[in-house]
Amino acid sequence: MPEESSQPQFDTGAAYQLKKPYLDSSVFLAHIKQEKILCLGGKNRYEITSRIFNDAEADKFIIYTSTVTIAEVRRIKKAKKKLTEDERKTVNVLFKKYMQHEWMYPIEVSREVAEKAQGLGATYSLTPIDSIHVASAILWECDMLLVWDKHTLLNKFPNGIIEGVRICEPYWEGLPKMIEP
Amino acid sequence: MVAKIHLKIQGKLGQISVDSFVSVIADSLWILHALDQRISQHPRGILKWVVAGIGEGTKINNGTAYLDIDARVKRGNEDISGRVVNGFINGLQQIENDITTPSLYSPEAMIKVRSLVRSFGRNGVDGVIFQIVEEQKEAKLTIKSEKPIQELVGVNYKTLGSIEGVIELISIHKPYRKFNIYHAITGRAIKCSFPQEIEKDVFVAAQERRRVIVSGLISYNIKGEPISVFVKKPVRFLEREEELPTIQDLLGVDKDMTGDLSTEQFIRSLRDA
Repeated sequence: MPEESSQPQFDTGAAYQLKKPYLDSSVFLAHIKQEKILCLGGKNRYEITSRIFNDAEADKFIIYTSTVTIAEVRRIKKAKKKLTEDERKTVNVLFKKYMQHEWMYPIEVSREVAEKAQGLGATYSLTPIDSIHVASAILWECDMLLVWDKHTLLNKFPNGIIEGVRICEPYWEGLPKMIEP
Repeated sequence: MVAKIHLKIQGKLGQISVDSFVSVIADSLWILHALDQRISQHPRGILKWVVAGIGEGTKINNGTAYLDIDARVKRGNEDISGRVVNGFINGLQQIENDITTPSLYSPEAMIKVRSLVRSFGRNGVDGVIFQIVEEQKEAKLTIKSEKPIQELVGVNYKTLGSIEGVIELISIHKPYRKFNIYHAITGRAIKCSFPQEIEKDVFVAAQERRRVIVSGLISYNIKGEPISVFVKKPVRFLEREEELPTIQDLLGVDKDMTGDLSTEQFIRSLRDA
């Protein structure tokens, strides 16, 4: 039985169509881990990530993320399953190459991004990395920032929207909500 | 149907110098030709422009001298003139209204727009209006247009960084080796100068139309748009799309990546530490 996510308290964004999504590192992690946490709409996280990536591959939209994502998506040192040095490198290389797809736009942490992040961090009490993700999404005019981290980013902004970017959990587009808030 | 542009030069007859008159037309045609090259992907472009009308004054506005220019396809069968003319007018509107660089305008085209505008106020030319009469669409350049154009062309700050894109338009003419890289996200052309050591890789990248990353000192305009790169490191070739891992390849490749921590806890452990 898959683990069920806690009671939804935030906008899941299920009514919105993905047009120019920005993906937080957590979304990539869920895919690599094949996370089986049940989400609104009755789909597991990894099913949702697969759908998002497949839609991007089918040219429905481009996925935006920060180059910071490449640094964040890596193995924890205390993982139970030990990997050999070669295995660890293989996973890293696989992810680095994955980020080279034409339907994936990693956004550099430019001076402009850093300056925007500084302002956001001070205004909304965000950590520098959270600020960089949000700043990147804003500056590249993404309409949504998808993140599985509801206790921090999701409730930082009024109505979950910051400068035109809606912060919400990834969702299965078009499915009715299984669990109503 | 071939596209037409109604070009109107504002100023008083008897004061407009012939040199200025000709320069306005030549600069305008230069930009149209650059857009033709970009859209057609043909090094010499596929369109030519012919005079369809010329005269004094117009019923549409109170301009003093006008020229009607029609496009003709001179190479191949494809007519891209509508795209070129619309890209031209939309681009000028974007510069004027949004103060951002149009994706079809190369750095050289932006310099040409600036040169066009800088000639206003001298030798009798006050401005120029470009119209697509059938679509009731127009773009106007006046002396006031110089400020936004200068902001987009001028360097505001520089940082070390990298740009991902595709290399085109290489020149190894001395004293500067240069190429344009078309930004992977914006599609804008960015001018790059490069050292001799990487010349071979630059040609390979252009010939094979490979996506690459160039790194060096990047100059940005006031809008934070990269406008040029002084390349300082070797060109990094990105993998071809068919060589990249698939969505399925990545799925579940390391189920224990975050150990006992949930994805959320892992992210917080990284960011809140």
